[in-house]
Amino acid sequence: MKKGKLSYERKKSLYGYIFLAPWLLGLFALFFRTFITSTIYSFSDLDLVTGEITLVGLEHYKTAFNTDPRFLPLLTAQLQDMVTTVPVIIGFSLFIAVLLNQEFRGRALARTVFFLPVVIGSGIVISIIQGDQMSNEVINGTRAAGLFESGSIFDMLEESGLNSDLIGTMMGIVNNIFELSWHSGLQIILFLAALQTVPDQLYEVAKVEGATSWEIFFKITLPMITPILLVNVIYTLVDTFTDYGNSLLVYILDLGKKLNFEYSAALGNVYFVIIFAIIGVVLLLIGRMVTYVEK
Amino acid sequence: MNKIQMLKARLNDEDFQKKSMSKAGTLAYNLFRFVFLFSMCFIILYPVLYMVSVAIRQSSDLYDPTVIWIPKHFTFENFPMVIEALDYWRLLVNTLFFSTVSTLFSVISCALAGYGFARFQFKLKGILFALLLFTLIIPPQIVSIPMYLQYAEFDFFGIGSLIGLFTGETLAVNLLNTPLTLFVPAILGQGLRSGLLIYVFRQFFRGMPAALEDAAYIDGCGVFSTFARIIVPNASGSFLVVSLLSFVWYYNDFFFTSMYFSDTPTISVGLASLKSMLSMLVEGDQNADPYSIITQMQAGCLLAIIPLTIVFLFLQKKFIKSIEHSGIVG
Repeated sequence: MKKGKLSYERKKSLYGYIFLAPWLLGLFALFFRTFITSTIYSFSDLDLVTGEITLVGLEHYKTAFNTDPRFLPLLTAQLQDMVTTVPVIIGFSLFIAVLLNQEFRGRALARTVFFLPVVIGSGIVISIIQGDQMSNEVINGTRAAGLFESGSIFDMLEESGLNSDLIGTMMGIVNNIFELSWHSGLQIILFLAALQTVPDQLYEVAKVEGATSWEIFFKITLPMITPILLVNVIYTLVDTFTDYGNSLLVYILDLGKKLNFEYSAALGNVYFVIIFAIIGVVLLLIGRMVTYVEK
Repeated sequence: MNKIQMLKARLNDEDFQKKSMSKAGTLAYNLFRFVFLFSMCFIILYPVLYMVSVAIRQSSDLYDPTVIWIPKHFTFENFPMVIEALDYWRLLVNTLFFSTVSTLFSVISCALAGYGFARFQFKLKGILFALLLFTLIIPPQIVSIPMYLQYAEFDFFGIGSLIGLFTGETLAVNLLNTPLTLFVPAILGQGLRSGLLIYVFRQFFRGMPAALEDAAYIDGCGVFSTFARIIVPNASGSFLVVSLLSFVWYYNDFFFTSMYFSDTPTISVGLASLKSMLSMLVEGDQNADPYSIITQMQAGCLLAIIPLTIVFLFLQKKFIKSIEHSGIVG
């Protein structure tokens, strides 16, 4: 009896590897080969003409921490930015997803609109519109209806005699709402999909027991979607770190474009180790709160 | 009247409904929801409206300071011009082919890996999962040069080089300029943002009740047929989301396609070079207005996002809650 159980367990673990097989092959044959090559670059000097590689040890890493005037300030700014951005994006996208999950007229249209940032923002289109708006303004010689600013309405408010500090704060929020909605598309979709997986019976039972809407949300909906909440937090972290608009990443990539591959690879590695550590901490903290419907 | 009927009657009871939310409260809430969603939609649609507004005007309207949103001279001329300059239909077919096949491979390999992580216990699981997260945070731009070299001399995951050690001649083929540069990583779960897709699958699978599989095992179903016949149909929502995201990313991908292909294979790459192509056309024609490029570029952007938007408009219906979705009763 005991022997039979053991072989069953072993079988199960074997199946685990079988399901992972394609990914494992890719991980070692594709991902690690490129990553290790790039790491070797970070420990060496490349001669681009002859293709020769001479090892220089930790030199590039020392430069990053001791002499580079830009790396550390950019890094700290990035980390500070993360502390505010991630919770706001998560809260915002959850709120929108809950609204979009309700029944109302025009829901299909609203959902499509909220998916647009994923469609446009991940492509080359957004950079073209942004660049184009600028050239358009040059031609007109005026600040045409600002695409990425909400200035005009605040000018109106100022004319009407409102406190300028108050207007400044409002402007900050409104301008951030634009950024917010453009960085929350994917999270909204994932939350929306997660909300579909909450079984109806739970809601019915809660209603029969006389739970209020708030109680239903915090005691049923929220725990049931925590698995996807965790993915969303991780994704948002990764997204803010690897976004094209991230000044640190732009700095690292620019070094690569200037053919300084070795230093670029070294900075990249330092950066990723830090992100990796942060994600580990997040997983430890939030991972405990995640509820899975398992035995 | 048995207990269940009594409960159902109570659910439908008007007094009960009134208690849970008053009429005025509902109205205020609906109003708030409408205003909020409407204004958010406007913020998101702003660039799209701008695109449409510029794409359907003649370039002379760009000089006119009184024209902000509604053009004075409507025209659809921009679209045929851009379709011709881009070779739009060929690129669209190409893009759809690349992204559909890559998405298909990617979804299959990611679903398998996600299921492996979600349901099986094995020794290296923790380490492998950490590696999965690690693949997620490395942007491909950082490792672009080794990646390019890898496909320029593709040695079948090192097997070719191994043979080379014995025969003296490395077995390698050039995969550049073939769609295999996109398909090979997709098959092996290393496609565009595959790490995230695997993670999403894992979370959805873990959220499914284990009783589903237990029932299938007891009925004598094997592991693989359980996955194909029980898990996949019950997780259709997650498959839909993951396919959709993967498709969008492949459709929009500019980085990989422009790196691996020397010609113009997809709409994104075409769009990036459209400006220089249009300015060449303008320089050849003395009567042409150089600023017409601006209106034509916007027309190009619209043409690029329209297919994706249509796809999503159709698919979003599937997000609507279905009663049988949860799979298990009681």
